Amino acid sequence: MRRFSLPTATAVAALVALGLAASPAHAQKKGGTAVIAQEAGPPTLDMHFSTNIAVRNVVMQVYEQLVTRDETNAPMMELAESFTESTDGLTYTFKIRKGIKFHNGKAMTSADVLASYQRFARMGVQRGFFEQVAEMTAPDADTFVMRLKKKVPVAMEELSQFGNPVVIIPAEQKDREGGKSDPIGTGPFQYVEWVADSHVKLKRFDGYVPDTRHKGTNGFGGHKVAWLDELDFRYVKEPVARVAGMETGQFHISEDVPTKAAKRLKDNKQLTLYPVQRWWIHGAWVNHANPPFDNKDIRRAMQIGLDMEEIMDVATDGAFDLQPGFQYPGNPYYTDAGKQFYNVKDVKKAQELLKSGGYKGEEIVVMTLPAYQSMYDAAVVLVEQMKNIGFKVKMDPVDLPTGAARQRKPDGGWHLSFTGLGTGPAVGPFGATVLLVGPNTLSQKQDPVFDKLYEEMQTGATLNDRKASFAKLQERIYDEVKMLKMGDLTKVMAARSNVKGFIPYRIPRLWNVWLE
Amino acid sequence: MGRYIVQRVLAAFPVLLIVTLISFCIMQLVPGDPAVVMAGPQATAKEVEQVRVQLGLDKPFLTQLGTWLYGLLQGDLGRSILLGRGVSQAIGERLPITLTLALLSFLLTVAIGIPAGVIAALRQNTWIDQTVMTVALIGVSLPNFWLGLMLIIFFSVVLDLLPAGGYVTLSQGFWPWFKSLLLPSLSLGLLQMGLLARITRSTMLEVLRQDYIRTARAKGLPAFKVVAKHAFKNALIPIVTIIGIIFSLLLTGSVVIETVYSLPGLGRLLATSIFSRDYPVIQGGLLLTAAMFVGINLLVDVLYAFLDPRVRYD
Repeated sequence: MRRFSLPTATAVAALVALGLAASPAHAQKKGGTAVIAQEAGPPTLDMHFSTNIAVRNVVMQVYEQLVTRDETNAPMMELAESFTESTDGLTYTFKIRKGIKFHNGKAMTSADVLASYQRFARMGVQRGFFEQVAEMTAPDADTFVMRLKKKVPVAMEELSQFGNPVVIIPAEQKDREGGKSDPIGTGPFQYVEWVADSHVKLKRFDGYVPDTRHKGTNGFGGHKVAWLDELDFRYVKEPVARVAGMETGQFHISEDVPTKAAKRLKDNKQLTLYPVQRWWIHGAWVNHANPPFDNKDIRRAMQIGLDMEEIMDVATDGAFDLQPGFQYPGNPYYTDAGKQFYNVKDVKKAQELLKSGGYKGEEIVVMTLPAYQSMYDAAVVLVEQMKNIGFKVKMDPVDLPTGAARQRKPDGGWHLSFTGLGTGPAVGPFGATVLLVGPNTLSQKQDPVFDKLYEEMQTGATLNDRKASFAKLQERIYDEVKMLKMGDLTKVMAARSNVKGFIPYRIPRLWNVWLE
Repeated sequence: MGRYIVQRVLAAFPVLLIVTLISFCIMQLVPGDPAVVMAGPQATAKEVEQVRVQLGLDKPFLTQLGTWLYGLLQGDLGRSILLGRGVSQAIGERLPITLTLALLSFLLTVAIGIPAGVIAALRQNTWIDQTVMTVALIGVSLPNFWLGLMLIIFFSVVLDLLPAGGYVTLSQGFWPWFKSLLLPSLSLGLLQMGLLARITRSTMLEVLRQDYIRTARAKGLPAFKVVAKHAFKNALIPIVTIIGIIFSLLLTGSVVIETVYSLPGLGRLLATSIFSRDYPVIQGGLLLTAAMFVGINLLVDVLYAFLDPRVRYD
């Protein structure tokens, strides 16, 4: 189900992306400064050291990866010219593109790739994959070799992930500690200035060498041209100020426009709105460690009694999709496994289950994040629905660090903890499910069956094998009620009508974009 | 007087130390730390722990406190966990914006609040008095973040006269700079204007009822001279006290306004640091704020002596 009435961008983005930006029919022109308003400022510019989207939005204009993701989310070559996999699946040999330069003028070689990978393996946030790497070498200036301890069928997916991208930095920065690298990359824009709680300025890198294998924008890669002289990322926390700035022309692009404002702005000819369907999964982790949610029947009662459509409608003002998957339709791993437990809204059956399950009126604490209006609104509706089923419920609004700290503890004083899974599911099935794996699972009770399925998903020889494992994994999430999935939120980006070539994506891609 | 000032300055040190210790302990008790913010909300527990170790946040509480106090004794406020620079430098970059904003708000507050209060007192129980007091009451009652948003919608979106937010440096031109600060100053100052107008009115009314005012009038002094020289000057002591408090409130009240208007000042730095648990910046910011309060209070006390010859500290 989708309620939002604007044409969604994701449906056409792939088609547009591959041709529009390079099309001679559009008169691209160099020059101008694009001011981009974003909700949060980056806490660092060190891409190895953060999974924060505010970092990625800015920094991925500056950096590039050896391999990245294309418009359909499949791995693609970026700074790599080609790669070969040995017949035993243990050795990956990458040939590096020639003539690439860093923003400091230094030529990029395999030594830089090696140093970047070694640094990431030492201190990258999501460096888990590198535990399976036996050796990395750079036998000559154009060749980078990675040897694995055991076969990892999803190695290319891991190396191209964009949650915490393995960006290529100059080798001289290999030993820098986390958060202390200089923002020098090979991307189409180079760093100028960062005032941490205010703005980041970038400028066109005139020495950029576009990837001529592509015709235009393609995922995080493709043929990139920096038409704009400067990019000015401004941190504008207040949504009203972001919208006002878009209306007055103070900003050119806003990465997030509240849905209510979007409805009002849709007839404004000075603006183009880009609803990005399935931006994140609205959900809540379920803590199995404490009564009454240590009882599966009680968890099930909550699960089948909730009306997800009503929750999402209030939370997003109609900008949502209802579907049970922890991947999105169209994604290779998409499955509707577990759908029999999704959006059942059978209050009567839930009440019966609550009674037969022996619910003793224990108070359920619902932790939510008021910084995200949609999460807060969703929690308000969820609490009322749970009360209607017969639960005694208390809402506990907290800020992000508090929520993140408490939800990692079984005795953190919570039963449900609201979250938005944005990048994880977009990167793939691993990102969507990794937070439920192992002893640190956010459902707070390790599940060996789940862990085994996760491992099978990583080691499955073929895509079909891995898909089958993921389907079982998703089924298990529903069956054990590890998480309440509510729906997929549509995010609305906006650009002034004189901004041309802008194609919405997981980050605001500002290459192949120009001002008229 | 000099001895008094030295005593007050020395007495400020224990106050600031207590502020430091209390704020340090409170921040340690609040759940969450910068590692969560740095790693991102979707990082696993293991990944967050790795970041925590790299940031040195796994060290015991007393070690962290000792390091902070040792640095403080050497005049070093430490290094921001998230900004990649020293706390003193980060504060130094933002303080001028906050001071300018507070000063501009202060000037608006004094320039409008005091005359409004005086006029209301002189025209007590007339429609002028009632209008001034009603407007002052509205000013006191409106939350400044809401007022800020309304001013943005009216002056930026509807009239397209002033920017919706952001800071323009003075080097980019006086008018752009002034325009970037006008709405924030008004939003910040309106509450204080109302407060000052009400205090000025009541103080003036009290003074105007005194015998010496009646005497001055009986002597046939012009009304302006009676008000300006005899009434207003004597009403100034409580007003100066309030003005001191108002300036302190304007300095600290900028937290909300700087966030609404996206001004990269000290207030927004503190707000961002609190939400990201950047402990050294919070510590440094609170210490500075406390020092400013102490300093302004001292200044007000010194001003008393100039305004009222009866006040002596020696």
